[in-house]
Amino acid sequence: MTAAVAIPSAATRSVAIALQDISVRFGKPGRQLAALQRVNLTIQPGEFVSVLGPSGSGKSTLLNVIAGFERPSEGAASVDGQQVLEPSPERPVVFQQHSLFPWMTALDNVAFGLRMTGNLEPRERARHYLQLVGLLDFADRYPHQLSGGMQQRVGLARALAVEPRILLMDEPFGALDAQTRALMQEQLLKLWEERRHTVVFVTHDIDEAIFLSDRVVVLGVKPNRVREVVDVTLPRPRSPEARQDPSYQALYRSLFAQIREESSKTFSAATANT
Amino acid sequence: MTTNTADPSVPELRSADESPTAAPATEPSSGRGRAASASGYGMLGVAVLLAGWAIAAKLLDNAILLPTPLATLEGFGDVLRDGTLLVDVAASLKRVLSGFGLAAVTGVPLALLVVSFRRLSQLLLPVLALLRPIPPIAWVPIAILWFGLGDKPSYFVTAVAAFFPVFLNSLGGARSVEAQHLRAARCLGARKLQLLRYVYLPSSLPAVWTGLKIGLGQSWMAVVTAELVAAQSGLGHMIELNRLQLETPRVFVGMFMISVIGALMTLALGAAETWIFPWKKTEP
Repeated sequence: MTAAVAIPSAATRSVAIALQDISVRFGKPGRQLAALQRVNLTIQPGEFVSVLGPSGSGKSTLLNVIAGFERPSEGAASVDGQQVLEPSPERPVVFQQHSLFPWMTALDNVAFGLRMTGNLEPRERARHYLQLVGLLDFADRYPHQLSGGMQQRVGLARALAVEPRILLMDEPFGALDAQTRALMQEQLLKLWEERRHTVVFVTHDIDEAIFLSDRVVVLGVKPNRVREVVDVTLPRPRSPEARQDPSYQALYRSLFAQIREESSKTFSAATANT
Repeated sequence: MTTNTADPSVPELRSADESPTAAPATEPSSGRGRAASASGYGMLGVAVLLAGWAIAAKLLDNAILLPTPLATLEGFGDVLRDGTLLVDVAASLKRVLSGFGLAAVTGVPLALLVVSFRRLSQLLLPVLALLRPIPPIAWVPIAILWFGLGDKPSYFVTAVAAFFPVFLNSLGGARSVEAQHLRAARCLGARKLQLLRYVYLPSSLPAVWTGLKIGLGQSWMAVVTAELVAAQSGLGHMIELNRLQLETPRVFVGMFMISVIGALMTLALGAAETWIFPWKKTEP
């Protein structure tokens, strides 16, 4: 049995993730900081959506709301029609770095979710998913014995292993060098083409957002709200050559200008304060 | 302010860099040389202590106040031959291990529970903060009243002595669990008790281990204290008995046994560390 089984049931629903008027505020009343303001967003099953924004735009907060780590101050997030109240193995998160359990081998890390969800042969399934990310030979290594890229692949395998329909990714390649990052993006796309999870992918990298996604949600700062949602029309399956496509370049220029404008808001404010 | 490129710590930092290779970097030969010279100096220190003792004993010339090393060695031979030393060592060890075991099986789980249940921590931590300043020796009189003479007051006192280091270190370890590890575990389906068992516990094990090491040391020191007054056997009792009989060499033998056994315990626990924590980076 493979993850492919999950696809038809996901496809029968029209909305996988719905965010309705989400606002998140941190801090005590009176001195509150708005991490997100009135965000509305619906994501279709099987869709790959990137959330792009400068630092401080609340993009990780948005992901944390969907994951169930963070309760919105106002509004509601729902997944498959159910309100999100707590984290669930139906929507695991791949974190930026250092999220593997250092006291477990790569194999046990991947088997973790399977054990928690009562899988009867966690080690066998974990092997399968380690092989999928090309790390079966490293099954018995501890995280500190793996390179940063390998650790992220184990993190991806760990999330895939619970066979979720939704995959949440919080700058998963943000700490990797450019070459490793490019290879990871291609591997992720290949896995996604086969399985078609609904993916919410947080990044501050414009190229990454375009190359991977069906849609890019641009978050602005001051206030932290959705600035624009753009469709990426590049054909699939995509290869690195997609970057030569004129539509890629036009989109890149447009997003670059938007992100630059947003970043300069905080940048000039910070400069004015000094 | 100058940038010092010849900082000696830099090469060490570089060698600790993450690498995809499994084997820890082979220890440079200078490291082994350093270790050898360190143990050489250690032996020298002990030799100086012994020599100083021998000279002082010679000069003082009072076998009751300060017996010579040789007289002490003879005393050691005596108590070893008549079997009383082994009986006393066994009695002390039994008390320490029981009391320490008691502290370990209560201190570690309690720390984990306190971290996961807010109300429990609010209830318990002030009480423990009040009890903590009472040194183990101050518990001895009340322990005798409650439990009489014999093994029981010693169990109690050694347990009290070990409890606080075990509990507080475990608590510190459990509190410093990475928030990201908790999140990762929760989004993979872990529930509260599973978080305790699979995240809090393993993640705080190094700190728990430190607590156990300190706790065992404290327990060992406390047992002697307790036995000085509250027991009819054990190394503490032996020291006290021989003091009354002015058998000072045997007092020294008792003190040496305490020192050697305590040091061996620390050594053994240290050696077990690499075996218990295979995920820890081997440090140079």
